[in-house]
Amino acid sequence: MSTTRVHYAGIATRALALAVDVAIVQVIVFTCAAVIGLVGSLVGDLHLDTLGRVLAAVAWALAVATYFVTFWSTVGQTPAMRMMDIRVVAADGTPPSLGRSIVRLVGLGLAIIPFFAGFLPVLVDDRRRGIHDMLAATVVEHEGSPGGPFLSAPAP
Amino acid sequence: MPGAADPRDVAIGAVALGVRTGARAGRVALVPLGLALRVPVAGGVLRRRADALAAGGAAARLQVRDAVLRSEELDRLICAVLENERTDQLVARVLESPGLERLIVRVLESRLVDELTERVLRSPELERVVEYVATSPQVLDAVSHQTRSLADEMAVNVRRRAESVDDAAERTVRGWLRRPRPHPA
Repeated sequence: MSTTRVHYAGIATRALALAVDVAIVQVIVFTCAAVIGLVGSLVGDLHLDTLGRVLAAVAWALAVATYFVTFWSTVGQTPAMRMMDIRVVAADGTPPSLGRSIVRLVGLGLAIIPFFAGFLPVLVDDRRRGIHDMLAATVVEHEGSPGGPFLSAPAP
Repeated sequence: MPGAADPRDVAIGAVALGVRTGARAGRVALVPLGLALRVPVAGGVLRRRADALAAGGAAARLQVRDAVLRSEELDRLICAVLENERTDQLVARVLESPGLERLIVRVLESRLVDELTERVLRSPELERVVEYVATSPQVLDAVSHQTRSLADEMAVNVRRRAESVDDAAERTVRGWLRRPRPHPA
């Protein structure tokens, strides 16, 4: 069988992109929180009770999820992935759909929880996929790689 | 001990003496005229005559000045002076002289330079120049291009290093597992 070389992104590139993305999201969330806190302190005494903290955590999670899912499903890459010149694609070579992006985000959480052990398959998988890629049926490849379906996938 | 007098100096001295003497004689000759101008009846006539003479003199002075400035002889004289080898030597000597250096240092250290600098810095013209330069499209393009180039270069370097680490990490782990990376046909 003839295969075409696709340059899949490795663990260091992806880790760096993820770190930069998380930093970007944190800056956005903290900026918004600071503005809300400032307005709250001007209006009245701002005090977060348990419910407020839970709501803040939910807002943070929603911000993170919105950031990743929006970028993945629309252009196939986050700003940090753009910086690293990589993109996430589905089996047909296009950016993952909204549902697939949500699945990938859940898988990303699952990969991170056991001390990032979910990323270890990237080191041994032929297409350098992590757990979240396997769950969402996506790959992360370098820009400039031949588009289309997973051309370098080994024959089943 | 002084040597023999230079004939040229003697001639120039004689001319200077003649001019000085002529000027004194002229001033003495004008004394009666000044007295006559104060005479009630003849003074008015004489004053008008003197004014007419002064106007004629001023016009003649302007004509002479214009003629000199327009004359080709003046151009040739200036060119000859500038192209003269002695002018070069003179300029070189002046530039190399310690006196000029001292003079320039004194000027630079003087309060005049500080005041001029302050006035220039506070002048609205300088503000306009700075504003023009700061908002000029060429300058903005150059700054933007430089910034973009730096960011691009940084990103390329980071990408290259990350890819090296990618390959090294994968090679190491695959080596432990004795599972070589499949090569495409």
